[in-house]
Amino acid sequence: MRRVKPASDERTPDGSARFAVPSREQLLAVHPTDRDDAIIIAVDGDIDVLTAPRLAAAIGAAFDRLGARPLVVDLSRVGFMGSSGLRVLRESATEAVRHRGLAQLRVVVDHARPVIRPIEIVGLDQVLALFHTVEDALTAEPR
Amino acid sequence: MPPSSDQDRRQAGARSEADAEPELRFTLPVDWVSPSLARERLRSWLRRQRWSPAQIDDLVLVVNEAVTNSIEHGYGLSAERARPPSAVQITCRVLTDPSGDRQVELVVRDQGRWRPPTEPGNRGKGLGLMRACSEHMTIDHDETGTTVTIVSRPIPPPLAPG
Repeated sequence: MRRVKPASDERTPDGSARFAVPSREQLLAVHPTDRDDAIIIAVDGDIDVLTAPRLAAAIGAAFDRLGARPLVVDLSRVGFMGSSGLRVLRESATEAVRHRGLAQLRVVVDHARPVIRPIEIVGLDQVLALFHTVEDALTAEPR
Repeated sequence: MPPSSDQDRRQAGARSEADAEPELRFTLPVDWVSPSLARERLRSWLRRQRWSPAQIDDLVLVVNEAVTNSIEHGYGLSAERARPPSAVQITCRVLTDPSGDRQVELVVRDQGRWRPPTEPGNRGKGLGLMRACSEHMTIDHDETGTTVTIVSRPIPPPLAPG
């Protein structure tokens, strides 16, 4: 997803202050870690229309410096993922393999139902290399 | 004094605890944070109804997709274009059949403009998720706005405590 969303969490159209508005940072934390053998992006929080562009940006930036290393996206601390997050994963997976000649995107999903269920409904489990732990993702043979 | 008409509407003999909050109704602004607010409100309300945890996840996904669609497409991506008092109205109520099985009916209404989903597009996927996570879904749209109605799969009544 290349489009940058407006920072509309800073205002409400009706000027109302009735809503306890969470910031993007409260909803989603994205922490990339560069290692010799991989880049790991740890994601913590909710991936929705507000926060998905940040995940897309982090994955895109990791692609730029990835080289021959695999990219592991750790979603085991994600509590919610909707179609906006699915779209980021789908587009990132396509970008890696088709356009950049990178290894298949490795995604850690644990047993978190709110994450694995939408992935399975739209069939992304066929496109992503899914693992239960970061360790499994790091030691897997390239597919 | 007889009970108020609000009390009269409730089903006679139904479990009083589940009927304590038979309906959830709230309005959210046209704002990118509104999907997260809708998820939080619906999740805590369904927990109070002692809803099935797996179905709560599904219904939270449904409300997220519906509210996101209203904001992203119904109001055309831009909060600025939504003239006050533009908003998204969410109503959720429990339907109990004679056997005691329960379903929730979730209604998400906006005053935006309906646009058919285009493939390959994000919204087609969102509608697919909503269908996969509900028993049935209807979309009504006219010049005044769009109403999405979702009915969950039925769940059995909770066992009495003790």
